[in-house]
Amino acid sequence: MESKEALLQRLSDCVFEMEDEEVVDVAKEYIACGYDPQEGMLKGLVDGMQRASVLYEEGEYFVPELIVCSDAMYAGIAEFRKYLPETEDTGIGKIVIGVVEGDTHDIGKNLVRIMLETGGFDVHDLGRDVPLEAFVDYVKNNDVDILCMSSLMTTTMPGMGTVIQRLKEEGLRDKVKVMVGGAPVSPAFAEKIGADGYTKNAIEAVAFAKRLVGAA
Amino acid sequence: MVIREMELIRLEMTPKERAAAYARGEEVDRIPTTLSAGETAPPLYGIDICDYYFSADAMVEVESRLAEDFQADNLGMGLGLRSLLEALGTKMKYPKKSVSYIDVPALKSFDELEGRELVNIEKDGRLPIMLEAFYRLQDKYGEVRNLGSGLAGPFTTAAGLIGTENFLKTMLKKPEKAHKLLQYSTDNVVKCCKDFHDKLGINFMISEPMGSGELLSKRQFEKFFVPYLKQCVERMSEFQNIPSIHICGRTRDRWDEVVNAGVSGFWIDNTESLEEFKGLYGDKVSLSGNLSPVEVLKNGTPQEIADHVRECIREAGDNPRGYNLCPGCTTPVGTTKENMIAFMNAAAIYGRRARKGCVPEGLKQSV
Repeated sequence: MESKEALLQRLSDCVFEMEDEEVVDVAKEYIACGYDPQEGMLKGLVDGMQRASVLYEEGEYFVPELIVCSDAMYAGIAEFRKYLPETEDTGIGKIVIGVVEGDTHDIGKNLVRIMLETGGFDVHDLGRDVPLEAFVDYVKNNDVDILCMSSLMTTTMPGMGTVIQRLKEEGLRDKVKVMVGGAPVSPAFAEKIGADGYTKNAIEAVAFAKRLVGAA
Repeated sequence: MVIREMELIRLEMTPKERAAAYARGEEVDRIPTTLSAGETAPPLYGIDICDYYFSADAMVEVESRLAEDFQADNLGMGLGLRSLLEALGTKMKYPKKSVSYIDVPALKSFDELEGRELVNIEKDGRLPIMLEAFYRLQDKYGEVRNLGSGLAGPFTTAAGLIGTENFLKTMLKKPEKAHKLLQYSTDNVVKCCKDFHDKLGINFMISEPMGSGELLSKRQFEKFFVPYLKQCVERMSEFQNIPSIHICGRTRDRWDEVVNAGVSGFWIDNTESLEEFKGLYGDKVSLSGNLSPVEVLKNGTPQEIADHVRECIREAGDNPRGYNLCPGCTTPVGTTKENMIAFMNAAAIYGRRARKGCVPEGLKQSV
């Protein structure tokens, strides 16, 4: 029987090397050995995703590689989930994320979502071209720690400011922290619209989100 | 020099005369200057963008008004990033006040490529509407203006056929399928350009936002982008002028490969340096760009626009193989007429008496 450490390493390698089919076989082997699925997820799969994100920061892995690594991670997670008890609250915080109205560029947002989930958050994804009121409504009707908004077009960026304004008008601004991102967004813009922060990529976003909920 | 006048400085030479003279190395009244505004300008003329796409009348109206109001050197609707895709079966959404976007890609799987037909510009998508508009513009302006267009190249088109994330993943996991799609995509781009050219004599340029360094590694670029760009350039050059290319965003690390693919010119975005490009490749290809479209052209004051135009001309006005002044990318929706006039006027002043490979007299005299 292979040692837990060896199997965790193989799980991590599968994610890192984008082996989205082999990862399921390794996950099954791991479970068959009687090892803890939660640990398999965090120390195996998530570890692989974090190794991938280091290469992304170094400019070795790009968006396509991260997407396929995350496919492998999620394939492994789906297998492990069969053996985990149903729990409601597993995350370190609740996040709602979306691309602002008028904008359909969502690859960056998807990556941020993946990395936030990898980082331990429960994330609700509103998708792309999200009507501004939908952000406000979600915060109003749900338990949310952080609202994340993204845009790739300078013409849709002002929508972020409008959402923050609407949150104030509804008396919801203090209920939630607001993070913004996207290629045309800047720290200066984030400050101008009253956001709590701007992060320039998915990796920074996770670190910042953790600080916001006090989990860092 | 302070730009106050919001009336367009009118010029004597026709765009056709200017283009021909500049190409011959003669002095022209103004540096070649273009605005890529057809798809985003309809609201300036009270036309909703969603209506513009489906009406030859609207297209002719917008192109005519742009020609009269701004006297840029280009005329002709771009097929842009999505017209060919739509003709090949990708479904679009049409918001009222913004450009269209992809809703559902044409292909659910790569197997659907088997025996799939190539585009027919007389029947598919909105191409017949554009064809009619081109004919009418040719009749109206053919004596004084060269009709031109541009469209997404093979790589960006391939992404839109199967879905961007899907395409990016397939390049990594099933490269042979990605290549098959890219070949189909190339065949369509070439056929589309040839068919329009055969009917109207239009020359096309290629746009490839997906080739940007923001998205694609150099490794993948060399494997999946370059071969099809080379093929496209070679095949298009058999019937039209050698095409030029526009890639948005970061491109510095792939300039070499793009130039060596045989393009006639490179339109770079505002994130890159005109001066640096000129220094490295100015003896090989013409150069276009690169006023910041949003920060300056849309959101800047007329004075800021003038200052930035001056800087562009200073950097690249003397590019040995020629320079075309234009924004770094498409003129954004919501750019005012006033700002577009400021841009054209600054071009007329600082780009006055231009000659290929030489600093324009207008710039020299502005010091």
